[in-house]
Amino acid sequence: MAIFWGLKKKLKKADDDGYKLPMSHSKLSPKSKRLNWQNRKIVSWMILTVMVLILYVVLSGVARGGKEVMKTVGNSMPNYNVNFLEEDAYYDYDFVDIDPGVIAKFDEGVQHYLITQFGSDVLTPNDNELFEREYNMLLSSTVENYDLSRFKGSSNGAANGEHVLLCVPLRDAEKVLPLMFKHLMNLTYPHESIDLAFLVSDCSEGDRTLEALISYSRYLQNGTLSQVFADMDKAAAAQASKGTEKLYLKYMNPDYLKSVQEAFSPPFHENYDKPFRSVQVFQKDFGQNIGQGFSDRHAVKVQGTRRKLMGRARNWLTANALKPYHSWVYWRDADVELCPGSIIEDLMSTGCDVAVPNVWRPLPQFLSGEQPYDLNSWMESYEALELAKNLDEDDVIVEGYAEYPTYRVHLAYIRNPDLDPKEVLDLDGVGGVSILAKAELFRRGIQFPAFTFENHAETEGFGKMAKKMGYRVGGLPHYTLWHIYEPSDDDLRDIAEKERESRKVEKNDKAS
Amino acid sequence: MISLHLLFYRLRNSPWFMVLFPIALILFVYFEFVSSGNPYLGNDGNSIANHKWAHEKEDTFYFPFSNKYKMPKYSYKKKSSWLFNDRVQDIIPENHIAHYDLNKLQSTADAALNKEHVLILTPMQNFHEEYWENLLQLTYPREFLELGFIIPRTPSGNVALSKLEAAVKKVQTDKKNQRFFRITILRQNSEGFDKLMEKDRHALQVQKERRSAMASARNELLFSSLGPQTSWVLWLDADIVETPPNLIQDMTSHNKAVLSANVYQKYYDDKTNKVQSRPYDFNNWQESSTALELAKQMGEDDILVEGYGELATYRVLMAHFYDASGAANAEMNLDGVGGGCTLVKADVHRDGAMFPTFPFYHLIETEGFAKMAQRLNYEIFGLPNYLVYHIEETNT
Repeated sequence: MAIFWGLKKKLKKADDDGYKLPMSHSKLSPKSKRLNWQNRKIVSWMILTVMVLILYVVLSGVARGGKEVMKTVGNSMPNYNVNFLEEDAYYDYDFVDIDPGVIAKFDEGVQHYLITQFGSDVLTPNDNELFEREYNMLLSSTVENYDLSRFKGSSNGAANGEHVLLCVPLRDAEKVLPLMFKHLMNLTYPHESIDLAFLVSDCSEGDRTLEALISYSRYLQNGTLSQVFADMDKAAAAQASKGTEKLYLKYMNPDYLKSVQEAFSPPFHENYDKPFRSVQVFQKDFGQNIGQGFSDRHAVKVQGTRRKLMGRARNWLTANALKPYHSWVYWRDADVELCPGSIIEDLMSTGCDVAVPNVWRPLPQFLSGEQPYDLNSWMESYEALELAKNLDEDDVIVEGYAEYPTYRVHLAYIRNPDLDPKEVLDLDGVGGVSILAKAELFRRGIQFPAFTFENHAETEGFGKMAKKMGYRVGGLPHYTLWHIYEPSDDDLRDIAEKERESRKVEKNDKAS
Repeated sequence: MISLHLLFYRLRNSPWFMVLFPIALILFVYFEFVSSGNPYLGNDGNSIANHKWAHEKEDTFYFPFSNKYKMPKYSYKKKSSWLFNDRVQDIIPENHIAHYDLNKLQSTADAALNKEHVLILTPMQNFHEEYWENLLQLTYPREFLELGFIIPRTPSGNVALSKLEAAVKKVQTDKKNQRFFRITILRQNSEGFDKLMEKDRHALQVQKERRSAMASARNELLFSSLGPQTSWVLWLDADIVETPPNLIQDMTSHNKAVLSANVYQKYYDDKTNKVQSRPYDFNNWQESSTALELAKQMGEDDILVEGYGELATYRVLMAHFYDASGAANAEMNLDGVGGGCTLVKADVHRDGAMFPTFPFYHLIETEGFAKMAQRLNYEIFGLPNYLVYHIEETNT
């Protein structure tokens, strides 16, 4: 104000000689222009309103601009309808909703609460009801009451709402995690009755299995994991079109590759994206220093130690994740390539206490195209028992190696793709790729022995222990899962040879 | 303060204002009605509407491929508002995802200092008031104590269950610092064993059946209640009615994988009219060559049990090694343990040591467990001079 006033004074200095007549505003004094005075009033009001308007516009502009900025920074996706999960199975037992505010009311003790709230008055029925509910909530936050005979497990688990604990041991598995998650999402057994439990152990330096697992799990529980994988596959396809990284794919059976591709393309089943009841990730290092490459894993000398360590890892997972309300436990390996989504229901319907399918793997065409993979599912033979009598207490018999001729009947070799996949055979030992077992067995103490139990360890020891305690162990010879193909050092050499030959032929063709 | 009228008068008459004002008016009209917005600039000169957070940028550490923030397709119902308490996450983890780093779980000699959780497991056939009183007297901080009980499905089991539930209700609705961390009560699935009288229980022929049933109960209890936060497991029988109040601190301070205390029994001696004590649990022993010989000659399904004239094993029994003047923390090596008062590191159970219900090296239940722990390369110890007392059973 002062500035204007000063300026005006300076500009008017020339005119004024300091003398001004007092101006009067009476209606009687003559006015030069009647409009002048009204003009001034109008102009004043106009200035006032315009200034207010400008102020308003400025402020609202700031607010609106801020809101727009927030909106675009938040997300640029169209609005989804978020589905709320209604099924009871998501919110039972451990996950019953507990209100911390209600529980905090009883911090000084229930007696104290009753006395301070109600004094010596008798509670009205309404109050009593509310009090009973809150009292029960308080108790259920620390006391758990289970009747174990209710969780026995039947052949029709899905309809009876039986809880399944799905256990997956992982080690250096970052590359197969997308494959594993796709299979998990593909399970048709109601996701609200499946608890996932992962054990990440002994990963090498720089391996990011744990971080990848946790971030995939977050997407899984949001229901958006399939979109993430769709993006990843697009990116991978774009990269693969530039040059084949996996040379051996050229030599595989094209029908098999086609069936793999069809298996993983949409449309998927209705509840593909539905979250699971819970995801538990356990992290434990056992000090294992055997490599995880194919040749490292399969050398006969390390088998015994390796199997015992794997048994230990599996036991850790069951011991920590098994809850009283689980009826079934399903063990699954991460590197299965083809598997029906209804596997849990199929294995359950056999009526066995332990059920395993057959596991094969594809091979390059120059190596016969396919091969039994899991030789740990077998029926006991007389020769094997004799062999065991002559072995040391700590020796572990492993299948598929010339050092231990057991002459056992292996489930893998009985396979016939034309026969009924529902046929069940009684077994003594089981392999660990895909085992469905009643939780009752684990609760009775049957474990994956981490020591040599009757000259076996891990899953075969598990099968033997289950049989010993009177449970029925069954295998389905014609129901096949396909394991991924990892070329061994020999295979890679053969493939390299073939590549060189084919390049020579090409060169000759070009020259001629 | 000058009046508003005068203020406007001055404004009207000042030339600067009357020149700038229309220009400003035109500019504002332009920005408001004509321009399309986003006039705000961020750090790098771009509009902050296009700002990307770290996890949204391509090819960063956070996520190698996809970077679009995806709206969740499914969501769990939440009854209690997130505003109230960050402790809701302690009870039910967000999105039901939980991550446990078991490498950080340890069992050390300073259990209470390191806030290690101890799980006290009791297969309960009868509820004894003295047992419960004794349990309440333990000085280990209750916020790290978890209790587990398993009760057979028999009529006596029903009685025990109702008494136990009443006692549990009383303690868990008490002040917050008096409550145990968690209490699990299970009803047994497998067949129980219902002959209760002391004389009958100890007949040799039924031993195998009885101990197999008990082993089954123990396993069911163990594998249902063991959790990722448990460091120690204390097996305390329901008939142990008197222990030192510092029981857990004393036993964990030895830092042994499997440790068993000496179980005695106080009884009223009619001859001397005084309360005397005598050894009770003969399942804590060291192996002897005689026993191993006996085992070799037995059938595969037979078991060796202690305390019977028919099976003279000549094993060294810890029960007879009590020395009233010796140090209470003296240790001795054992090969078999009883389940009266045995402290086991949770890792031993997690590795797979359980109570075999079938003859395992001709041993069963707790003694079979000790053998299994040895097969897993753990060492068993006992405390001969540390006494806990079994209830006196009146034979009515």
